[in-house]
Amino acid sequence: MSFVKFANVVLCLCILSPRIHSAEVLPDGVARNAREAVERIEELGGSVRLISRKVKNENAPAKIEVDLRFVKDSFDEEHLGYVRSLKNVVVLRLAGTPVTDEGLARIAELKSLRKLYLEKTAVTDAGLKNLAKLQQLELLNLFQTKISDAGLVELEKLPKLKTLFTGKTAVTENGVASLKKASPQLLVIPDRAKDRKRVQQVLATAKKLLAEAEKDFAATEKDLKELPPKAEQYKKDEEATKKVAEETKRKADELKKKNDEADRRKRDREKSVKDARDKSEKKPEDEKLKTEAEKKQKEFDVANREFDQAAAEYEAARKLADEAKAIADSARQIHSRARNAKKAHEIEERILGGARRRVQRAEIRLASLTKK
Amino acid sequence: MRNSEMNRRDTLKRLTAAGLISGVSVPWFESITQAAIKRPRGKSCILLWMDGGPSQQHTFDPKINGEFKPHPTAVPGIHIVEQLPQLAAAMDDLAIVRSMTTEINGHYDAKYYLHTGYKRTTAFEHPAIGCIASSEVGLPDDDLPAFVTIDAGFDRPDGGRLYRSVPGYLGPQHTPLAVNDPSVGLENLKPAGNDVTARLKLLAGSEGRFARKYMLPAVSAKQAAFNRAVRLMQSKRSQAFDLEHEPAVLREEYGPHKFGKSCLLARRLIEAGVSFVEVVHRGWDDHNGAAKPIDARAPWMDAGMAALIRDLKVRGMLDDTLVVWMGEFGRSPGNGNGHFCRAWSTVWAGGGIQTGQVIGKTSEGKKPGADVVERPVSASDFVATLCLALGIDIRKEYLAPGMRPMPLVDKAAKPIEELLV
Repeated sequence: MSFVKFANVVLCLCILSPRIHSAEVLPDGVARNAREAVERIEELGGSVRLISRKVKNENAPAKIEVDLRFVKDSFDEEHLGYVRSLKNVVVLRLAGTPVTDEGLARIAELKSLRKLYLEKTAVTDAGLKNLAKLQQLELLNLFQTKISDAGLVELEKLPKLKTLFTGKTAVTENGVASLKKASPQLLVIPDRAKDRKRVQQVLATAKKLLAEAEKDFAATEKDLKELPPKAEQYKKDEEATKKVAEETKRKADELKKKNDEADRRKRDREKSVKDARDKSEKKPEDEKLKTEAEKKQKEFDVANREFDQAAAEYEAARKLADEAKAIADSARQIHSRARNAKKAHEIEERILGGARRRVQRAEIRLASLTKK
Repeated sequence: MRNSEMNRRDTLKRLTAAGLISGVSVPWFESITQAAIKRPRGKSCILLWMDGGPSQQHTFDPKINGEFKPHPTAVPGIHIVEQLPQLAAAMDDLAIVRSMTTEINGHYDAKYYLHTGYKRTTAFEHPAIGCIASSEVGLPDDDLPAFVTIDAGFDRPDGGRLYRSVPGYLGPQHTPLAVNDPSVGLENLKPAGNDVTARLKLLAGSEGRFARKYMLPAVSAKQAAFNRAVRLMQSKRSQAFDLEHEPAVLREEYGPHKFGKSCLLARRLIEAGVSFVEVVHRGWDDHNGAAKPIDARAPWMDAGMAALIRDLKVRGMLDDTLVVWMGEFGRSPGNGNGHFCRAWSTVWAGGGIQTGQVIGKTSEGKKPGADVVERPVSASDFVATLCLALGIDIRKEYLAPGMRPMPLVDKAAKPIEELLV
């Protein structure tokens, strides 16, 4: 398999290579070839990686990222020469390294560079001039550097620059505004105007939530003061009302049974009246049937009266039971509120504390975004 | 000052790292031909783990008749609860996945499932996502550990047994370093006494003899862990563990709560080169209704997470740092009393994913939020997406105990392409 063969070749090369170059020591920053450059960079504590595993065009050189963020103390700007020995470096990370404006002059030769991370380095406005050669540059990170509005002007020469980081620098909103006029495609982070607008919204919501929390807290505060001392009484009330509710419900249930029975009886009688009448109407000359029908009618009248009475009694009992239940429910609720007043108060207190801090935090942020 | 000593073992290690010797096909390798390129320090990830199962209807998937009402965000058409105003203002940097549907309603098994993408078996333990990241994107030989967990404390200690990330067959070197309190940082970082070098030399001598005599994996693993600890003690990058280096204004933005401090510590660690940080806050198992407890937690959660995203963004780190907010499942629709794995939410930010959008949808109508009605996302879909966002090859196979080949992520997984494209 050619792949295995290839692996072997690389393996041999790697094992042999130290002996080759130990024979002849090259100056710092100079590498014979890309492989050696990678080795040097890794020895310094940097790393080299491929950006994408997907290679669309087999012949296209792979895009490379060089990360020097965590280099050893032995690193100096001379070593940037190794990066120049690599083809198609598109990302270079130099955050926190001892790179200065002088280093930027070396970096300017990396024409393929798209993303350059210079945050927390000693670069200044003067150094940014060198970047004009990086015509492919899309992202530039200058967070926490000494740059100011004066340096931003240099960046107008970068036609593809899309993202710029200027946090913790002397750059002002005016500086950003004039840069954006020249390069409308540019996104500058942070965007103080946008941030301000957002914090104002956050503050409005935070204030509304605080008002709600204060209301809820006041309610639990009142409960805590008033209810627990009466808890015993509430307990007794709850028990007593519960008993009454149960009793009235039992009675109502009984009366419902009676009511249902009376209803059934009434319907039975109604049916027999109808039957007797039908029979009588078919034979109007039969006196016996007529008396029978009349008798049935009387029985029905009695059942009907009995039903009306039972229904009225049930209705009254049901109303009573409902009332008793409502009383019992509210007694149970107030007892539970009295019992849990402390807990509820505690959580509302926490909610209120959080709501207060939320407002405070938004106010502080707004103030810091408004000044300067 | 260069060190041209490169022994064969280092080279082998390097090639293994590049994927050559392990036999995994790396198509891009041949196209570069120049060199054996050390494994990438790719993207990093901060996992914000709300242990116990946070209620989706009280956070990122509110319903009109729910206890918390939907409130507009910075992205028109996307609504979350009012209680998270800072996150709402940062909605263009967030993506909400509302269609998590993950089969397991028990705390521990669900934690295991969502951390590994596999269901628990009795045969062996699957590697946790943080350990996968440590193995696949972390530098194999760095001053700082590639995977750190931070304990952000708890509201109350329930929510089932705590899950601890286990590297399993990836190797013990990928076990996380645990920070027990973000304010304290890493304990015992400064050695006691001033004769440390001498003591270490003595120890190395005797242990070296032992190691040569008994060349067992456990011995070398123990030694590797010890050496790493020593390296960390001697590295200036270990300052990352100390929050005192941050300005007071920024610390205030993150908030005084342990969660906010943990978020700040996570950012510092990622900045210092750690690949994966998991922040665990316990106590989201709200069986007596989620409304009040979440009302109380929302301010610090909102502040910590929003400050983290903002801070990463301002520093230009957000595109390389994936932030994921989640628990092991959601909570039952309505008051959130019960566990609910059928339809719940996770929140994503950074890492170069497509933000300012909502993926998936839960049902409206009679039972709002009872089911997923659009784009269901399983546990393995979730882990696959997270891995791909970090640039990890999810098809890569490792040998589990019993010589069983295991892909990093279940082959049936369908990553959420809408997030990645």
